[in-house]
Amino acid sequence: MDRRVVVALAAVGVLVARRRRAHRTGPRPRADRWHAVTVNRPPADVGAPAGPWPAPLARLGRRIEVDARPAPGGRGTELRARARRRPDDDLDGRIRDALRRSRSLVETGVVLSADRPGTTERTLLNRPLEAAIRRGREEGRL
Amino acid sequence: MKALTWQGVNELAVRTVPDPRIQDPGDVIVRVLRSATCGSDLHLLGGYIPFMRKGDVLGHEFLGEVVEVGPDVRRHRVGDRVVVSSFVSCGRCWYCEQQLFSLCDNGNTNPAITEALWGAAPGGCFGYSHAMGGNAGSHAEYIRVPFADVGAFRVPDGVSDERAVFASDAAPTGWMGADLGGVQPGDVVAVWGCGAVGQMAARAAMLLGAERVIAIDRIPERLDQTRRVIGADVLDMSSTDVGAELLEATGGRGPDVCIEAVGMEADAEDASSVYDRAKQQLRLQTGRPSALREAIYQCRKGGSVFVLGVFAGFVDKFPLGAAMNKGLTIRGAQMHGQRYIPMLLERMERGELVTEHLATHVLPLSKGPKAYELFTTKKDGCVRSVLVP
Repeated sequence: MDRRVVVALAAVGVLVARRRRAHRTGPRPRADRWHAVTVNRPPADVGAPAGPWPAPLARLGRRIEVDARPAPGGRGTELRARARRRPDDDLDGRIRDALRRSRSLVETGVVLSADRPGTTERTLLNRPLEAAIRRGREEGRL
Repeated sequence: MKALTWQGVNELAVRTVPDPRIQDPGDVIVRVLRSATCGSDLHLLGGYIPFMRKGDVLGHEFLGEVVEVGPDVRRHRVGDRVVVSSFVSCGRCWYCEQQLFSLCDNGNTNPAITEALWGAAPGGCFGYSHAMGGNAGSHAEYIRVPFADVGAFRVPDGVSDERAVFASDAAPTGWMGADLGGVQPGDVVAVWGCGAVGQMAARAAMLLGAERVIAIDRIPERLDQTRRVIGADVLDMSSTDVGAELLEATGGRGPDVCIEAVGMEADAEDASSVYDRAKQQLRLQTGRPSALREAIYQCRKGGSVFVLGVFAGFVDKFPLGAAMNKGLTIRGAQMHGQRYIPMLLERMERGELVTEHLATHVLPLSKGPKAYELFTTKKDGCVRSVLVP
């Protein structure tokens, strides 16, 4: 398959999440919905009931509100965050990123990253995927 | 260091790349002794998983020697010979605690990509594109292993490199198919695909007590290995009506457990294969699921089908009617290596599980492109190429 086709497919795949949110035909998520991850630790380990929350969430400051509650069935803690005022895609992305990083920090003590320096060669054709990777924890469905 | 890198669709090259370093306290650096090709690599080579970038290092099935340890590593020392699970798993998230290690919440550095595609993100894998974490692969002189206390396992002294390397991926994958496919003593098991994973699935089914194991393929060298080394019955699909043979072998019931170990580039002897190839070339579907269709069709009522072959997107003509009306259980997964590797190494040490015959072609790392050419074309009887950095 031609390399340009491969990259084009990758770019299309990368844009799926944002485009679906922008152009969905069904109901949109509630504006005040919580973004959430379930952390495999008891509530006190994530800072419940009132903080301090894990650093990635704390860094978002008063722009967000944070909540934590026991997950059903004793399966850890639901760690939740949402924009305090009108949400926008950028802040939602930062919230998703912060929740994922917070879960990793609480569960493992680290946030895994690929090897630095990497082996990848930057090319014009792989720039779309590079952009997607930079936002690798910001996008998605959370 | 030297490493085999992806340079584009069907383009590989050995390049000089930066050495890996300890980044997190739980990391180890491993000097790679053996690194095997895998059928799922072909999806990367062919551009069917479009999340590779020029320069990415391939390889996810390997063993080596620990040369550096992070400050939090407790189970390994410099000098240990280890085999490493192909999936990067933290051991502490809910999925790891459930022994579903390839679903680890913390092993994939780019979860958004696969979350958007599949609804949720599996874990990270060495050398398997940025959709699976962008971790550098093992076709290299050195590799960084995160969460090493969880994913790296010391190899017993009596197990050779050529045998142990397949404990990294092929053997646990095959074992998982038989185990989570629900093989019980007395079962009749059919396995589609006599590559390394299919052979391991067949052997696992035998060790789990299956009374008959029938493996299906078209390639003579693979059928021969499966019959002679693994000890399973074999069917050559190019000259045999597989369905008729399976019915006769099972007293008209069909196999209890059907394990598909071919993946998204399967070929059949019927019009469906032509259809699948055409649609795949037109990018109207991402896989060719003919072996999976057969497994569903041939499985007995109320039986179990386990999908070991790697699929990426959507397929057409999926026999959902057969699956539903026959009451089948269909399950699949990327392999949960950490769940099985210690047991597999013990079996290898006792001689119950042999794998070195799978390494039909052992080449230096510098011959990496040639190794994949042999593996892709299956020329010269190639079952697996193994690289020696």
